[in-house]
Amino acid sequence: MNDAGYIFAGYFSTFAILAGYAGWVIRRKRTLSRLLRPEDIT
Amino acid sequence: MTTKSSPAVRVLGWLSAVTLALTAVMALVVTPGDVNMGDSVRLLYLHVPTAWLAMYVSFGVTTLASVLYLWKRTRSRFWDLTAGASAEIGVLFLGLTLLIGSIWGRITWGVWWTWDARLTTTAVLFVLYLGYLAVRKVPASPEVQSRRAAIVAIAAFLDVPIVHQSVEWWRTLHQDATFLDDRRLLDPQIHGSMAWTLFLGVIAFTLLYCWLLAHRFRLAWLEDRLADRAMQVAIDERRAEAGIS
Amino acid sequence: MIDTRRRLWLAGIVVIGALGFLVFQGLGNATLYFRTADEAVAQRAQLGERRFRIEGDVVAGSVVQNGNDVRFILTSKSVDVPVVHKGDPPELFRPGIPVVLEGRFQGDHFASDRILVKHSETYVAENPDRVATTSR
Repeated sequence: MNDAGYIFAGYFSTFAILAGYAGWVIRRKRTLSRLLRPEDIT
Repeated sequence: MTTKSSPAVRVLGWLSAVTLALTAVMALVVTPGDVNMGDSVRLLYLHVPTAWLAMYVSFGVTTLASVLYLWKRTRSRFWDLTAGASAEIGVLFLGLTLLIGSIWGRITWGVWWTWDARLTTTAVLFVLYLGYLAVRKVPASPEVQSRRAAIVAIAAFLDVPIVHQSVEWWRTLHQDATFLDDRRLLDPQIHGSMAWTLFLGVIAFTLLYCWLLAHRFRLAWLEDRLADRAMQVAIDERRAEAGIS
Repeated sequence: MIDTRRRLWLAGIVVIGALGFLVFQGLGNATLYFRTADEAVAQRAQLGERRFRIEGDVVAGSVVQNGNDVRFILTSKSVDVPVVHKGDPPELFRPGIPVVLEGRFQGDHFASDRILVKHSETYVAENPDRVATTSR
């Protein structure tokens, strides 16, 4: 494959950025729901 | 509602993971290179779906939700939070579009960036929605904050049709649309397996968008509740102080 | 409240400043990103030694590598412009394709220092035999 470095870097960084964002959202969600009392989350 | 996401959202997550993996395999292994662009055409399967999801789906949902917020009969926090969550995912996708486009440009055109009309209007779109996310964070009373954000969101969306038409209106280095054009919609000039992979990519990224939106909305909602509670605590404290003195 | 207002103004100024820069930088050049070879020849007198972008097809069989230079003929609407390009052409450069060049007129030729390979919205398989079905 020509330009394999560029192409793989593109695919790798895309999936890494998406996974990083998803991880951040889910982790923050968990932290926040621990801060809230059950009666606040309804 | 609890911390655990609903089964539907979890199924959505798995589906998007599987379709994304399938897209990557199709894109990198199964599909052929392009007669002129060679293997760099493989970046098409990331560039087009992310652009599509950012511009039309994410920013479209933000605009729709903002209109529904501004309209008195449907006004609710739900629409405001949806608009914000969708815009953030849109900015993420558009950032990826620019990143992949830049790499693709480096390979095919020979430059990372050039100020042609398509690239310029897209950069403007990116900055506009970054501005929208910043406006959401400027403190004010909740109603003022939401109304202000909704107006900015609708104004920002005006750039989307400009980006779409830029390749038709002006001379650009960027190629024209392969599918979303009245002349080419029914007769796209693209090799069969390339078209199918692109289609699969759009589906995969759409599923991912829905999954991300469900989680991001939930996070926005939790942040909102937390802010509400902090406000309530502050009010209670004030009352207590007033009662003592 | 004063703090809030100041932050709002600051955010507004930063966004408007960034947008202004992009519009100034971009659309100034973007609306006329390139002149086609025939237009450039027609405007030859006005263009003088000015730097601009020129677009056209690389004439098949005209490409000659000469040390550090690449010479070829650029054509658009059957108007030909001889080109001398300094440096290596990009990987995807080949006769017959549309290109955009950056440079200026110099005597009888266009002196280019950057070749941007333009590509169309059509995607055609490299080795059609590899995959059985083609839509074209």
